[in-house]
Amino acid sequence: MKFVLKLMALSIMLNFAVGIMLTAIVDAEGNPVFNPGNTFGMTYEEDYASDFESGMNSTVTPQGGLQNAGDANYRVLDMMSIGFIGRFIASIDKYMFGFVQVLEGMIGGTMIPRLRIMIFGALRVLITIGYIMGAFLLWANKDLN
Amino acid sequence: MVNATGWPELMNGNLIVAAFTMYDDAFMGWTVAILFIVYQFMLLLKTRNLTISWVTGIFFASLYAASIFVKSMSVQIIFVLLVFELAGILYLLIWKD
Repeated sequence: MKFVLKLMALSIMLNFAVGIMLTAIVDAEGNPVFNPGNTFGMTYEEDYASDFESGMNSTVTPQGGLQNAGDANYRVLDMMSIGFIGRFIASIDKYMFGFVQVLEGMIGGTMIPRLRIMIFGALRVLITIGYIMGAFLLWANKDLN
Repeated sequence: MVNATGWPELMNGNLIVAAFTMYDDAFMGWTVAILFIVYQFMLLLKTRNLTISWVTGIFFASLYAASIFVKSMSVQIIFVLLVFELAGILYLLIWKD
């Protein structure tokens, strides 16, 4: 559990590090030493947190009809909680799998598409298992390691 | 067997450029990247200090960028190594137990 959380923290710091390296490292004449074309696929994303601002505010549109008007209350309550969870998971995807995205941006382009899907899909599954174990630790206070 | 390169530079009296040309042909353009990786890992193994490695790496990169030996591939490798070091420094600063 601790490993995946550390990985998430490191991936956020990687984004900052790319931004710092691109803008702060200059030569004697003030020109950047590293330009965006020479970054081995690593890019700085300024709006790293925009999903929390725009994504979380988006409207949830329920599908289908209701049998009777009394169900509407439960429908609204369900949509509030389920819709919130869905949007929250969509928002933190970038944080949860940020490290895999960094690796994919760096070396994914050199692989054939099927190998790329297999390797980075497997990495995502491994990290997801780590998150599940972490959630179980928080819930049951038992470390599955 | 490949003939030694760098003779024209040597005949012009450019010793460093001649040596660089010879080594760079032998390592197929990877000379600076290899030098940088070896030096960074040696420093890291010896000092266990990420900040010293990063700062001296910045000096190395700045000097290299100002020189005539720049190759885009080695700049990318230097960039990736320095980014990971800086991310490690920031991580230790903020999240160290």
